[in-house]
Amino acid sequence: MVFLENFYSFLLLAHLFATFVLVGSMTHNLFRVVDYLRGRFNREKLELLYVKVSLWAYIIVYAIGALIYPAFRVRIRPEFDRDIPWATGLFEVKEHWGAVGLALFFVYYFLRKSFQPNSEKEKLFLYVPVCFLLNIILWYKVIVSCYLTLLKGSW
Amino acid sequence: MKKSDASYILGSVFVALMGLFYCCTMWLPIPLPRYYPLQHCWKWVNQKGVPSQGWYGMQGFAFLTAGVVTLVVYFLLKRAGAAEKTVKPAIIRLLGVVVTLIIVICMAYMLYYEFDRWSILSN
Repeated sequence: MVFLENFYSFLLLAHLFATFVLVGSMTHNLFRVVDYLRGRFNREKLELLYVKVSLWAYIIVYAIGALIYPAFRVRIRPEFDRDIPWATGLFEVKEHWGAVGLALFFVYYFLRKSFQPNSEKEKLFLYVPVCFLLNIILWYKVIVSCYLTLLKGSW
Repeated sequence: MKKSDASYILGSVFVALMGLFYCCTMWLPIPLPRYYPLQHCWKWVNQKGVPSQGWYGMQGFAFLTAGVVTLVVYFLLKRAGAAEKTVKPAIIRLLGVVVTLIIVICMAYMLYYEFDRWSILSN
């Protein structure tokens, strides 16, 4: 018996629902951050709220993902490795980028909490690229995960 | 130094180092613990033919080392009396560009590493 194997389907669903929240809040956050580039700073509070929601959603998604990883590694991945190794390659990139994403999210949150975009515009030189990178990481994770689940999501 | 400047510098240092140290686990043969899900145990060796997970060890190493170095930078800034100094906006902008480049390069390397390892590029 592998760790949490019996709860795999339930946890995978919870992982999916938390991902909905994460992608929704972070994509909305991206639109607000693009507004900063256009010189519009009238919705800063809403943007900060999206950051807070995104951080907590990411932590939940990440924790559940780490918990179900052993069952995935034993029950599903061997078939990927044997039949479609390129799929394992896509998955491994997702995991590496996910770890970088966690670090980026913590920095993104603490950075946003400490500065006012309207009065400290020089800090947008890190804040805006990090927002774009986080969205790239999230959308890559979502697309690859959906695709791999289509190929083989359970046993 | 303003609190927001300190957060900016320390955050930049942490995230850039985290990316670099994570890549170090791919570049260098650093011994890291691996989880063996069928045996429910952790081992320092990579046993061939037995499913194991090195990802926990890789990220643990990257987060810990980046965290420790960032802490050292924090104490160095404090000791240098950075609280009374101001950071020029140009320095803040330059740091943002450099850190972004480092993260992008690290992410690109991770992509290349796995695509090469699983022969995605050659197919």
